[in-house]
Amino acid sequence: MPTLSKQTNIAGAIASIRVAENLLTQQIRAATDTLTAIKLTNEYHNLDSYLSQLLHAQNSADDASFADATAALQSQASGLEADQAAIRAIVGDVQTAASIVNYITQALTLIAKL
Amino acid sequence: MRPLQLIAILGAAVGMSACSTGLTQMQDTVTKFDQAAHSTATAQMSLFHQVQAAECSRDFYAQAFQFATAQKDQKSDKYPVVPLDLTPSCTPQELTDAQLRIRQKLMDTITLYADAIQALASGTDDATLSKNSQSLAGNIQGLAKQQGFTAVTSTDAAALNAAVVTITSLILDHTKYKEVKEAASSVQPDLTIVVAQLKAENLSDAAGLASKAGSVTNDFHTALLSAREQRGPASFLDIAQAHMALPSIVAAPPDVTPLNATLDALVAANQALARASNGGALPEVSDLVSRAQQAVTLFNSSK
Repeated sequence: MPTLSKQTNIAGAIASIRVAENLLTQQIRAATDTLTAIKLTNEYHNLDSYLSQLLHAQNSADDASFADATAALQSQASGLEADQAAIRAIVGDVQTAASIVNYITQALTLIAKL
Repeated sequence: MRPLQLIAILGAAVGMSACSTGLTQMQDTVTKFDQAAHSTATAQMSLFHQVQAAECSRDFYAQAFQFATAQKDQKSDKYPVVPLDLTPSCTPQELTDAQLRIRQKLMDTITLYADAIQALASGTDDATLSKNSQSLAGNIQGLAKQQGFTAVTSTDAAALNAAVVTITSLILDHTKYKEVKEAASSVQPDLTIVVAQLKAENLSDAAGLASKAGSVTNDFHTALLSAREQRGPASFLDIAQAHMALPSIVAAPPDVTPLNATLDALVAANQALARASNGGALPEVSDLVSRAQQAVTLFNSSK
């Protein structure tokens, strides 16, 4: 059974990814260039897919399925790091890009503790 | 008849009538509590199904977006192969059917409890709780004894499972209680734990639903940007179409605040039943009834 601290870490990661998504959405809505908007939308899809997996892990009722779900999340850490690099390159506003990357880093830190 | 005898008979009659009125009031109040608990469960289940439907919708449009935005290879001048299934079958992965069934059992714990105290208020025996209900309560209790319920963050999972065991014990053996007051009082701490869990799940679901709604809306927004580039002012028509299509594709993420307030009202109503000796819990139960009806309307309309 997932411990309270593990569940707290998952909840924290969910919250961080949601904030990153909201910031990305603001950038998509503000984009005037189609290619930039497509790239940002694809990044959003990646975060959204990851968020779904976090929510699935949160719903896991037994140790085995929780372990499977968290292992899947941890194995995708490099993918999220690649997303961070892509977001840095796509988002024009350096401060906003740093904020988004920072929230993803927070999520990765919490997921590493699972 | 002597005057004193007459007074005594009249007094007894008034006393019996008052007792009967009190009993009727309590039965009426508990019946309303039971109905409102079932309405709350309906709204709650509607939210769970929305979570699954939103995932399926998001997956389809994410795939469609990948297909539509694929870039031609500059050397071969050909598009890469991007799968697009227009009639996909969907197996939810975020909230699987098995996980949904566990959540349903948590909600069933509450409705079966409400049924049990209604049977208690009516003064009927176990026969009023159907064999199916008894079987379901036993099944839920078995799951809780195996620690089958997971707490999201609000509480410890062991406490949640213990709470379910306590409530289902009352459902299975409610006749050991003589009064609704006594039964309601005995489960109040456990009901509070179960409700806290449901509320925490609802908040997580809301985050997931908002994320998916954002995903599909972003797809549309980016596609409209492209439409404007290619069609100029004529893209106004694409915008109008998107505006009409979007609400049917992705439901606006529901505000779970009213649903969580209904769950809080359920705990408050039970607390009132635990304190009141007759119909004294009516204000709290009426508040629950009103909130539960609103929650059903809200969540059924946002399907």
